Amino acid sequence: MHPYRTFPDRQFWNRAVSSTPWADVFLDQPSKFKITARDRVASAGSCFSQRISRHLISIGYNYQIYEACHPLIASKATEYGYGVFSCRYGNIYSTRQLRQLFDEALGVRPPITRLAYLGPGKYIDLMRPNIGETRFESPEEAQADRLFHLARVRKMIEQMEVFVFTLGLTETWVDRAANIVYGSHPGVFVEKGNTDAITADNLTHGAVVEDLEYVIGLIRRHSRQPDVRLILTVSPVGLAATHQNSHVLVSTSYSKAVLRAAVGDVASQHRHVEYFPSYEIFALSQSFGQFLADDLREVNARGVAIAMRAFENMFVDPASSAATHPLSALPPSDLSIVRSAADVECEEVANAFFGKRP
Amino acid sequence: MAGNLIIGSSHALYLSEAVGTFQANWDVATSDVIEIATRSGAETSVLYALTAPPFVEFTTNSNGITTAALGPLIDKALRFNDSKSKVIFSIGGNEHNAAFMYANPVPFDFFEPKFPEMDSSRQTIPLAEMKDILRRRLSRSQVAMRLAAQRLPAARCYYLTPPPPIPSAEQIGSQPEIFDFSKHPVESKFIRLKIYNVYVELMSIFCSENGILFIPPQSENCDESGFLLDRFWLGCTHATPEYYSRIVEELGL
Repeated sequence: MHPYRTFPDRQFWNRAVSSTPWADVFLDQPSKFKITARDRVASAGSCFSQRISRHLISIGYNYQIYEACHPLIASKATEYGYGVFSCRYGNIYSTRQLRQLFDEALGVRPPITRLAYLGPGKYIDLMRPNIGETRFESPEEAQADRLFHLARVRKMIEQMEVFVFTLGLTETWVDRAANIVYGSHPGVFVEKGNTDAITADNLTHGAVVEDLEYVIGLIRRHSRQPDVRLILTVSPVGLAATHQNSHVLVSTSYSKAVLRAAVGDVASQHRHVEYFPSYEIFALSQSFGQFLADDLREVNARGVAIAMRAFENMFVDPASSAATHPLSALPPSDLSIVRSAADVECEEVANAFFGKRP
Repeated sequence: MAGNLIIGSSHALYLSEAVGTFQANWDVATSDVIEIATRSGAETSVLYALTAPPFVEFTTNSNGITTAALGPLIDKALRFNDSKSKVIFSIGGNEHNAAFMYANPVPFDFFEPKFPEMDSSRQTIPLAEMKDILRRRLSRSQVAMRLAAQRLPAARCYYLTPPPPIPSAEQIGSQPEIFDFSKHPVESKFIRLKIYNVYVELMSIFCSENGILFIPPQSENCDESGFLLDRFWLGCTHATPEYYSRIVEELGL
């Protein structure tokens, strides 16, 4: 008997794709582990992962905010960028950024303080330039807040039981002399600063794999949870702009291909690391682009709902009380979900706004 | 009639003790102007104003709009509306203590230019937000002062800042006044100092906007950081009458 005879339906195109509604295609994806209602879940990543974190909260997961807004200014949490992710790091687009952040938080390297001065009382932390609408009023305030932030990231690494990381880009900006990677080019935020030392970098498959293995190693060494698990996803959101001499669609294709392959390789090497196919749900041609927003770059709310349903099917422990499925009963065509779509902050868009600045 | 008037809460009473002696029971103290037998011979009185000044009445209508109006007690002070009179406000002098004497369950810090050191183990709150929090707490007292000053346009009006914070948690704990430190510990002295500095800045701005002369903290009575020197400590938030001696002398109270 050849081995295909023993495989489940999902491993056959004609049984799992040809005659299956796209919204249901990924409901049979297996996973190496489950998440219970008690598991402390943390997340980080690109714009798309903001949607994951919101959904995890909405369905009653034990989503952890390790850096919450101070109660004295709780009414301004959104304004200051709290509650978007488990810590106030804003979007983390690349594995290199995540690696750098974790190195800082765990004391592997000194904290990085790179501020952009926008005018009196207005400073931006270039390591997380879009954490809310307001700015730091002084370098001292920015520095103290960064150190506090890093301490919270360290606590997150030590305590989280499930970490969901969404990889967004391979393209980064690097100050090689200082060994600092930026998610967005500093020139986007400060016109007059000297940014000559900052050059474009496009991570290769090998670099992404190395970064991920490094981060996984850090988490395993520093976690106080013996069963810490990682869920890796690739953002289906295309690049807003590319620093490569290439069409943005071609660069997007490269970025996503590299990330997808790297994540697949890494996940296959670890029993506690799993890949969630959000990228496939949105981006494969078999979806006919039905989950893309009007600009064909962003995703629409209906797609997010479908993706989250697949996420729940894949990871929720059915015995867990968190396994309520508020969206699973929802018809895929329910436009109310579309209307409730939330705007997602994305500083990568700033790159596009400012056109061809290096 | 020319004369000097001190309007304020507990700090005003200690200032008045520096001026001279006075006697009043609770009913008188909260309903009338109390004459002080001054050491200087000046005619000086004190109007005890509690934390919420009794001469200002705040009314909130069904639409949530609050209006302020002067109550009858202010009439007692109208006789000081004279070009030779000095009116010293120390209203709302404990608003910052009321809000920040206890250690916040979520430790915080903020950048304050006069004391730029920050503790990064505490969560950062923007300075602008701290100012907003204090500004809101001070608004009622400021309304009271503004209205009272408007009724006394001929007099020279001053605002006397409350004394700087006492750094010693031991002193504060041993004389807790209205506070109960058995449930909540004392806030970090540095946070209290920063709060105080913000308070002083806000009141200074308020005074300049409202034609009220601002009397800053007595620097010679503070240590290098700005805390109250220990020989002036009184209770957990007050200063001894001696703290005010130079002010009394300069103002001729």
